[in-house]
Amino acid sequence: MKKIMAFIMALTLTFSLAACGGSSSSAEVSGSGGATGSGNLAVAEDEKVYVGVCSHLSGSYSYLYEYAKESFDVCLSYLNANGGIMGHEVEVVWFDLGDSIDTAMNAFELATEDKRLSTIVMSTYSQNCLAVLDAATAAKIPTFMGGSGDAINTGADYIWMNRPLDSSASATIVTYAVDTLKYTKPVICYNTLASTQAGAEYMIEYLGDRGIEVDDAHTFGYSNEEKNFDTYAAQVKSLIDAGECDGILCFGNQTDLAALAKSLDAAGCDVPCMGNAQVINETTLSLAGASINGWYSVAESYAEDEGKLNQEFREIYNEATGHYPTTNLYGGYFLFYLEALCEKAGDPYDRDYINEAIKEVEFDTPSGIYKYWGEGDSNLRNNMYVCVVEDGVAKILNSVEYR
Amino acid sequence: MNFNLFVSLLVNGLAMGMVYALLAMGLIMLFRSAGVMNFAQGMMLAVGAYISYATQVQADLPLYAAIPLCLASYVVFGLIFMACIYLPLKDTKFPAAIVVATMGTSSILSEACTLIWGGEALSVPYLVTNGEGKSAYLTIGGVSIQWQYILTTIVGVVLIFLVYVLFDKLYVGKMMEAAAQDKYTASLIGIPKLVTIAITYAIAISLGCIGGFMVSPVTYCSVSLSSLQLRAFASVVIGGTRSIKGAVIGALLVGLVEAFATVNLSNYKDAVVFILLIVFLLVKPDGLVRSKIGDKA
Amino acid sequence: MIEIRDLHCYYGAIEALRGINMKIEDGAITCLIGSNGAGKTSTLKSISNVVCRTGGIIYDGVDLSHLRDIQIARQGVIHVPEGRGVFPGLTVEENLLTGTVNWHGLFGKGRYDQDLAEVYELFPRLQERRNQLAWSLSGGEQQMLAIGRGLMGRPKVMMLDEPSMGLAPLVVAELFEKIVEINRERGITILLVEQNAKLALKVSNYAYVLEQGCILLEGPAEELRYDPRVVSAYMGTGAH
Repeated sequence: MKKIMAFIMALTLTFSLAACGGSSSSAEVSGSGGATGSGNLAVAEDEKVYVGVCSHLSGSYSYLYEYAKESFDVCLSYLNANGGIMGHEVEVVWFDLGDSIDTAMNAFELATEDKRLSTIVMSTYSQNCLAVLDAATAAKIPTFMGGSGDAINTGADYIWMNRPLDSSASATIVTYAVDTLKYTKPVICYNTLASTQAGAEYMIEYLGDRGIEVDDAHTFGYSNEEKNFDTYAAQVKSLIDAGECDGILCFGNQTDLAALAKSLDAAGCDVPCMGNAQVINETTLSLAGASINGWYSVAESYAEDEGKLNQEFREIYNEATGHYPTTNLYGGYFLFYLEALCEKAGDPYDRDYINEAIKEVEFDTPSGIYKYWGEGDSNLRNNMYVCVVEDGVAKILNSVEYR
Repeated sequence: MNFNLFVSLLVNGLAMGMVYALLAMGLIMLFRSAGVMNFAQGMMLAVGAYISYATQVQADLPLYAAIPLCLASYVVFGLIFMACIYLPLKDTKFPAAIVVATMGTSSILSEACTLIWGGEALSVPYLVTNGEGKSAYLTIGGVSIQWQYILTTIVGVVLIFLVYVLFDKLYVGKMMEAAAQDKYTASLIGIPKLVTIAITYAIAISLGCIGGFMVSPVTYCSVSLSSLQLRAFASVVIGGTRSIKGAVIGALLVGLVEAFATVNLSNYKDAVVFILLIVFLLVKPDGLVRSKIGDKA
Repeated sequence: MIEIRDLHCYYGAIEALRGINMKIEDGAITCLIGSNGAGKTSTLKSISNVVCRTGGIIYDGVDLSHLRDIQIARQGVIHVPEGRGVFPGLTVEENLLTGTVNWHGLFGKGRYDQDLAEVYELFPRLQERRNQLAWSLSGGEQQMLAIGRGLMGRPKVMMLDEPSMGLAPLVVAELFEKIVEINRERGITILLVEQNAKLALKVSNYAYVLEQGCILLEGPAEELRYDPRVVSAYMGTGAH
């Protein structure tokens, strides 16, 4: 009798343990991680936590890589010196996106095949981000897109955007231009690349909402390869002289914005000019020289003293590199966000848990708060800054929360 | 369109047309003398621009020192180019080999420039600036024209004139023409082929580089300048592939059409230029200026 | 005198000349006849060094076999090629000018007015057409132009490759008169390669018959003219 009782108790115990173990493997993040996790795990035999970063190691955009690398190096050594992520050393694996969509897609595929990666970070070019959207969702690995195109914001699983959308930039620009700069007859100049053209079209739409119609004679689209902006400047000048233009709005990339600024200034167009965040990019400022002084811009991040967190980061950066970070150099801060995500997930290798953690974590960065905004929305941002260029440097005016 | 705008567009179109003409003249010279379409011609703009940057910005030389240094560098570069492309391949059985070699050279030059000067665009000073380093203007009767465009046009005209003098009036030019038309007979009767080809390459490449020197303050110095090569090819086709005069006319036409297309058609500027090219191919495939050498019935 | 000793000529693996020996006397018209493919043009090309060849070529004590094609032209040995070889896109006068390169040099300062006047005197038709582009000339005129260009090079020896080719008989007759004039009045040595054996032998002093890369016969032109072997092989029937 005793033997049978013992046997039944043992069986009961076994079954209840099994039942307990089974029920704790839900997708809910409880902080303890559970014995089995989500099943979608990164595997690193050396117990390091790996982050994949796709950047332009070669080709004409390689200067972006230089900025990113410096920033990631600083943050990486700081993070590892302070215990890494949950005690694990962190390492960054770089993938070269190259110069074309094809090379970018190949690089991303390599990244998805690397089983050690907990997350992947993609470059800032929206075209590349769009091209790899499907691959990212299929690979079930949380991917942070650096592009700002609205088309990237699909709400698809595992896709996240840590930059404000072009439409948010457009909304901010229009709000400031109409309310503060008092534009009534704007001229719009834009780069016909898909992402910047979209930005321009949003501007036109929002202007329309404010009762300002912009016709074809007031819009100038130019190709990404355009080199000669004096023809556009001459036409804008002619509109200004005829009283048909009292402000210029631009949406482009560094080289063309700089050339446009030079040409507009050379042609004597002395009306206020405002553009997207690329206006205050280092490259734009150095190429345009004095001609971009007085331009307004939106900015996604800034380097001014404000807030204890930013100051601390600025000093760390200065100590490590010998100079303070500028708006180009915030890429590496992502690693601290990842640290917070992993701690919330309870497991730095569990890709699904990390993915879910994004929905629960609110994280403060030098450029604003990363926060989840609901089902179907991949974008984590809600603020932009407006600034003006003075003496070749961007000076912040104020922060604008657009949602 | 008011008069001011019209003049601005006209001058802009002429100046860019001159740059395309310099490229196109080089293309024709190389095509006639070596039978090769130089797909690296566009990169010559970039090389010229980078050398201009190196002398004026990096070495900080004043203009009167920078210009002769640049010109000398262009000639030397042209000869090095010839040594790499022409000499190893001159007896090849495959004419396509040289064309492919020029394509490869274009890539090599592009990567080399990126290696040396980085991938970002670089700023080159205008030839004539006002106090703040901005482009200076000439104002006549209420119309303002940038000095850079005026100088580009003048330089273009001078170079076109010099090339004309070379081939039409000078002895050595006639010998170069002869060598281009029949290189076997030319060397048979004693024309030193290597010398004439070297001069041709040196001039053709230098023309492209000078174009780069003149245009880089406006367009920034970057390897993407090589994309203007397509305009030069269009000019050559429009003007007739055997005639320098035709190439110049074609180039000016392309430059002007491009400038005026930015009014109302700015999104389609490139398309307009190539529609022009297609129209010419359909209507006048031999180009505007017929070849001097006709077909005898 | 040009002395040719054991001249071999190769086009790749094919041997076109198999060790020929010739003597071209100063001031004489020497002709080289033979059927198609015999190696006549190869002989001229060998002297000018535009083909692969071995053997000795001595001219006035100078060994031509070590000189490049341009240098041979500078020695005064001028080659008027098969098919005229005029530069089609240059005018008549410009074509004549190109002939002076061997003594003028690309950047020289020599004067060629006198040479030009003499050529126009010899070929008045060229003077009429001096500014016409060479491609538009008739065959005969192009041949005159080619010979005129050769004369501009102040030659001591002129080598003519099949000047009669593709020309009407009347034109050929006129041409040969001029060739004889050049030789008699200016004392220029002529080496004449011809398919038209009849005419060649009529004007020449000495003749060589070339067959399949070897010299078959040689001798004073007068003798070879009536040699039955030559008559039957190269002249066909018809009056001399």
